[in-house]
Amino acid sequence: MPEKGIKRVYEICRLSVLTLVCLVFSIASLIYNNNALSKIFPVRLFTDQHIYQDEDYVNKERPDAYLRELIRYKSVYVPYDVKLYEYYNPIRDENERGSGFVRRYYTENNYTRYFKEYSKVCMTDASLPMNEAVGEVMEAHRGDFNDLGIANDMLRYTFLLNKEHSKETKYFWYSWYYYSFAQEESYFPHVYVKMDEVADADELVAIWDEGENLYVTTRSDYENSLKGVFGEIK
Amino acid sequence: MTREFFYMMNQIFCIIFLYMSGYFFLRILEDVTIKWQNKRYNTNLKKHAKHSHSRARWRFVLSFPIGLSLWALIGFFLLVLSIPYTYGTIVLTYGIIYMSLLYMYIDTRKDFIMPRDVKMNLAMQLVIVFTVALVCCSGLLPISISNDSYYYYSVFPQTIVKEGFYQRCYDVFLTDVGQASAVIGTLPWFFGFENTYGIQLFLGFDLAAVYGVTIYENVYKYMPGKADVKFKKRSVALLLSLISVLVFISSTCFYVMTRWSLANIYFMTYFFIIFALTIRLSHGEDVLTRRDRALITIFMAMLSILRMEGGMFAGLLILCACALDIPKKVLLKNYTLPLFATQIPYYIVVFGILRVNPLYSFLRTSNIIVMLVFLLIISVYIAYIRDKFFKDRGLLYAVLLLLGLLAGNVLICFISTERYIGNLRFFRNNLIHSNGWGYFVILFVVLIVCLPWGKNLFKGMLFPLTFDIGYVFFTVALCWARDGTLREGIGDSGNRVLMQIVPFVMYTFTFMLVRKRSESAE
Repeated sequence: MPEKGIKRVYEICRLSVLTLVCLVFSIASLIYNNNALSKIFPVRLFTDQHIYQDEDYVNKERPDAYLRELIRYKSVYVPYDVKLYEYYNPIRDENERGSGFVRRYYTENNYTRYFKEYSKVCMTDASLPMNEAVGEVMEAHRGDFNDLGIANDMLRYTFLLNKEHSKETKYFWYSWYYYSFAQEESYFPHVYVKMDEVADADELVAIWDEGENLYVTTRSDYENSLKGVFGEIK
Repeated sequence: MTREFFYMMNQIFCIIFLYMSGYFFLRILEDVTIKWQNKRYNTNLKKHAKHSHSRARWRFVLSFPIGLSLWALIGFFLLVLSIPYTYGTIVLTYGIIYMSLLYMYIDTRKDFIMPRDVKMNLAMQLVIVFTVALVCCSGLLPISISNDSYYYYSVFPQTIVKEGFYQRCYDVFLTDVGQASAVIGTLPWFFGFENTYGIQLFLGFDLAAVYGVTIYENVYKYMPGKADVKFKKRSVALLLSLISVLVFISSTCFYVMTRWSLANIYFMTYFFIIFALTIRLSHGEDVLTRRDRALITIFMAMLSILRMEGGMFAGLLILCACALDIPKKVLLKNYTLPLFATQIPYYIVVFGILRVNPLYSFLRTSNIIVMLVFLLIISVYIAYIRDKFFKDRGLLYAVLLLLGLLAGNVLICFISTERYIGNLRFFRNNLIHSNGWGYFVILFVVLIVCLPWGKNLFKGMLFPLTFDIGYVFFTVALCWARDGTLREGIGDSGNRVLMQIVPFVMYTFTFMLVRKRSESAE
């Protein structure tokens, strides 16, 4: 066979083998993508077109995606309006990194900002308990609520809603930092909602403890089952 | 059910709007640039007619990226210039741009007869676009979201739309989020839907189309054959490009990039488009050259603001493009200038006017200085050194460039051995343990072995090879520079950035195989 002919045959064989390799790769990849890959790369369908997805609720991830959807058309009562930065008598030293940071300025106001931004109407009710008083009581009643998940990231990004003191908003990551470096999950703030109650209600009550665990239930449920408990402790 | 249907239709309408705005922009741009080459056109009627199919192909695949770029750049500059980012100003800006284009288009019609052109029927294009958009927006294709998807590309854009301006309290969102990606994330809030999953999936299909057209045209161009075997050439080129496209879109990297609601797919798409247009430019002047230059200007501006490291990678591409026979004026005006036009105003706004100072961020003053000095050095090199010392010495330049990048990595290794070696280890583990890579690494090794090694193997591959190798060196160095350590896992930032190399590597391999075939057939 002339040399040119041998080369031509070799080329055809080579390209045929390569084509086969490519086809095998493609088929193997398609099988892998639709089966084994989901273990490290979970995917979901979004046929309902929403950001919030049922899987988030099941996996207790991104609770605010659900919470925002929940409160969008509802009125929410919170214990107090946003307290300004100066209320906390901060001590500032320009030379000291982190100076002026007041943790309570965040833990006491993040959720109020959140509900003012994303609910239909946010109103204050001074009779609602706050902070330490909530923590004392609600730990025993936590089992009556559904746990939507850890609130770290939700709180991490509420600084977008805080235009009061831009200088202090740079501490946005305090929740993530503070809680992510914690060793036990019990340190992480959670979002607790009485799912069965809130679905059809128009008015909700939102209270939180000093650790920023949030409790959301209906106005009527609060009046009937929780108000009395807080009243006894007072 | 009704609300979901409206969301889906609104997103489809949004995709069609972006496609059409890009289509008309391209169409007018082509006619205007052809008129500017009037003299050359009149003596090369046949040459123009020969390119008409190519024009139609590129118009079809680039309309959507152009439309998306226009939206992103308009939004970006409105925000940077503190002009309210509202329906009114967006409509007004679009109006000014398209009225100007229309004026130029009408002007081209005066005493100038346009040649017959192959036009893919616009109605047919819209049918295809609508069908693909319907598939993408229906929710039938799975997607993956993470916290960044939600907060960076949904919550933050929603806040931008509500406030209409950049504000200091956006804090780390201004230093860690590619602003073009965030502006793309505002589309749902203007058009009346909730997420950009359909838009992202559509762009993934478009990337596959751009890749296919690039492979086809370059394979066809370099295949031997006379006029009487043109049909055979076209068929073989089509077959080879289809196989290459199949391998690309079936790869796990492509699957992950297109399904994960992050900025990586945007970045990979625009990066590849600029890469493809750069190769077109290097082939010499034709009737589409001026159009390509204008498109590169827009896409370079877009690339630089899609991710925070966009400017650096754009600089890498320019450095690699310096190995080609592209005029210095083009490299400075169309490649480098857009980077300065986006980066400098943005840094002035964020660090000079708003005075943002997050406790932890990717973009810091030191990083900005490094980036601007890097781009300045590139500009000085192109303006004063390249033509003097490296004219017609592309290979020497490419070798020196790669050695320089390697030396940079060695230096970094000396400065910070533990972290650098640690990062390399994580890159290696992610590749070996197939975190998002699937079987690509195996395919890569097999293709390396199957390459027809010989003296002509690398002929004509200077730019793609330099870019592929340079990209790896650059990624490793950049991941070190951003502080923090990498990790093993599909979501690791360095791993995702490295995955973006896949279409470039696929192009290089495909072309090397075809190239050798043409050589041996001769």
